Amino acid sequence: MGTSVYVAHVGIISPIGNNLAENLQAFEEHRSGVDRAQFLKTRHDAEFPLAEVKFTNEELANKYDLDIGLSRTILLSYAAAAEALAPFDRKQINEFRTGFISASTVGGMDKTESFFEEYINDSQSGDLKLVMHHDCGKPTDYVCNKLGLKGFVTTISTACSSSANAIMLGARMIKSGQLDIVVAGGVDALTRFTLNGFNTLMIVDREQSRPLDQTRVGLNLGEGAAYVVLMSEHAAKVFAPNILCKISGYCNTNDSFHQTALSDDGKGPFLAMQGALQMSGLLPSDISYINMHGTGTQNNDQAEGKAVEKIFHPNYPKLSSTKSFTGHTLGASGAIEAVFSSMAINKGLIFPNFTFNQPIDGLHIKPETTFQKNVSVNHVLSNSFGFGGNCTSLIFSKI
Amino acid sequence: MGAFINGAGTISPQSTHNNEVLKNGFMTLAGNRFSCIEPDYSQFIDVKQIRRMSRIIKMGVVAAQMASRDAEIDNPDAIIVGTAFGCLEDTNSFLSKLVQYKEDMLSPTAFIHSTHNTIAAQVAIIFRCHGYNSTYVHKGISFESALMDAVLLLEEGASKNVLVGGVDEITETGFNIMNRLGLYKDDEKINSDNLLHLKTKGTVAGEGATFFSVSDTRTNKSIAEIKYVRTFSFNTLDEVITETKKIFSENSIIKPDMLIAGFNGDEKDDKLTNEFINKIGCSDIATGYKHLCGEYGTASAFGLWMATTILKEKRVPVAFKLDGASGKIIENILLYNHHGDIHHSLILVTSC
Repeated sequence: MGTSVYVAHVGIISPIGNNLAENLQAFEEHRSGVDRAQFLKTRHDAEFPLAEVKFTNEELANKYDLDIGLSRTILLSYAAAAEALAPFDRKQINEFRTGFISASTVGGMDKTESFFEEYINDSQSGDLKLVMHHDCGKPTDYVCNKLGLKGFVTTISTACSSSANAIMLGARMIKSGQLDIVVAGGVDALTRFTLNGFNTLMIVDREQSRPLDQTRVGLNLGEGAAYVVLMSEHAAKVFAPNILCKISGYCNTNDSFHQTALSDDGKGPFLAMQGALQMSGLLPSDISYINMHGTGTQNNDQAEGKAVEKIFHPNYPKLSSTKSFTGHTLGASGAIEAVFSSMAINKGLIFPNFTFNQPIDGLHIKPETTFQKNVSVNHVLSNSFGFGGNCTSLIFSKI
Repeated sequence: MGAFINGAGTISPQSTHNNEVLKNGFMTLAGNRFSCIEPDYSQFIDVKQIRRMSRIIKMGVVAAQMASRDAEIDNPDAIIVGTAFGCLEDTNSFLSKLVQYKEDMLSPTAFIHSTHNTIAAQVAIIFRCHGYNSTYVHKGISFESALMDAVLLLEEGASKNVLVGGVDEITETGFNIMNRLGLYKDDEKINSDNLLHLKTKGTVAGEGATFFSVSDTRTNKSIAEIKYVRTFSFNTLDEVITETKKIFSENSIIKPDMLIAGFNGDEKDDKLTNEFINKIGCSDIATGYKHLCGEYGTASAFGLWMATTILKEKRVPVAFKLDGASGKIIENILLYNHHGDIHHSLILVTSC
């Protein structure tokens, strides 16, 4: 059924590092990116720790030679996408059918917030330059153009599963023979809009979050961006002698239960994992590691845990939530975790939870607590679930 | 196998939700802001639910139900939505309070409904659909991205029936900001009859919710077949034209029976649209639609509704009074739209 879809290269900027090497180093040192807020200007800075990318906008703009007036979302997106594409000759890439598929939930909301400071007092005031970055397609267009890509371009916004769906669409378009090379992933920057929004839902932890733990009380919000370069068999032969892994399964489902909560038994998550497994032709016992969605909220970890049990009980693969290191980077999380999953396979790594003390009552899942190297990792399942019931599971496999 | 449109539902600035437009034709709309004529939502949604929904969510959910009723398929297995700006009113509401009350005393309702995927999520809940669900948010190609995904799902055999739509709303704030950015004409005499003839800067604001029920096999409800849908970004116009000619030859078409293009009244935008139409030799069969629904990110969904309405009868309804198609048989229609000369889209639909 069509060509295989390969992951040829990756790029990432997250609260634990500004490129792939730094991210892996942070796991090596068991260093979480969750810290007291330093960059987001919010009245809640003492109340909620955040997982921020440790640069101001100005520093990011200087580092990547970009305009300082751009939204933080654009700056982060460019940093990760440029790293992902760095090894490849752009002109040669454009001789193939290419795509750039990004994802975001906030777009340029950071700038729109500044605009509104003046706008709410006088509808004729506010610097219009700030609000031109508002929509989610803007970062995609800016970065695509800056990187010299053309052809198929779009942006997906399915809450916290957004960039997993971007990767899934990229894989589908290669498999169907419409495209040869797709840069797919996503980005979100921290904004007051999201912090306050999640705070109204009372699901933000006032300390370092504890995903998959009985004592968990909520998530830490994070920011970042990640992209994977997907290639068809043919393109991979030309461009990337050292392929990282392949995508062997994916499935997008909907929990169809509630706007902001998963059903207790995790029907959507169950169907997504089951569908991805079916597509890959793998058995649950073939999975070496699950990168859980694992936000650290009561609801997600309970529902996801139930769904994992339904599929894997009693033989559980190793599993963890890397959100305990990166925070929940929302629209970027699926892609950030796809990068970790690709590395797990390529370098034989198992990623840990930052902390773990007590298993969730009534569940049997237990996350790993140490970063493991030189492990045989053949297949990784990566989960991304979100508001609106959007559930997506991806499976990465050794070639 | 293919992609067959079996039903459509559209809430627009015209009387489309009750099909009166088929009898009475399009109304002349005045001003630079064309707002939707909305149906009685209680005919479709539980009153308790309606109260919690903002306008864009109501419009989206009900247009989806209208398409589903039209196709007589009430168990879609995938839901895909395109929306350029998403739920603007809820976003505005939460953001204004956040700034006004300095990040204090906020309630979650507006935030919960502000996410771009709210419409697709609400449609999934109403249809109890656990299948594929996605939302595209890319400017003027948001609907085309959704439609392309729908066709791909059907081709993959992953779905049998997909509900796919495009939804965007005008809000006070959104209109005011885009007006300040110079997007809209400020001529007092502007209306839907003269919009495409003024040749001045700017367009008019529009909004709408349009859904289609699309299946992988032809049924007795099938109205039109989607033969091709694709977007082109950062490509040259010549590259788009080369592709268009390829589509014609692949579908054994010398020239389509009709071309529905995204003329919006803006001098610069329409110049490019005309250049495309002239270069593919279709200026005599071209007609617009944005003068009837206004310009918005997913206006092309209204264009596709117009195309399917024409293909249903294989001729332009007399009441429509459109240029370039007087009384002749119409069996295929090409839709062309562009967004600021950066994104182009092509959709080819044929009669069933």
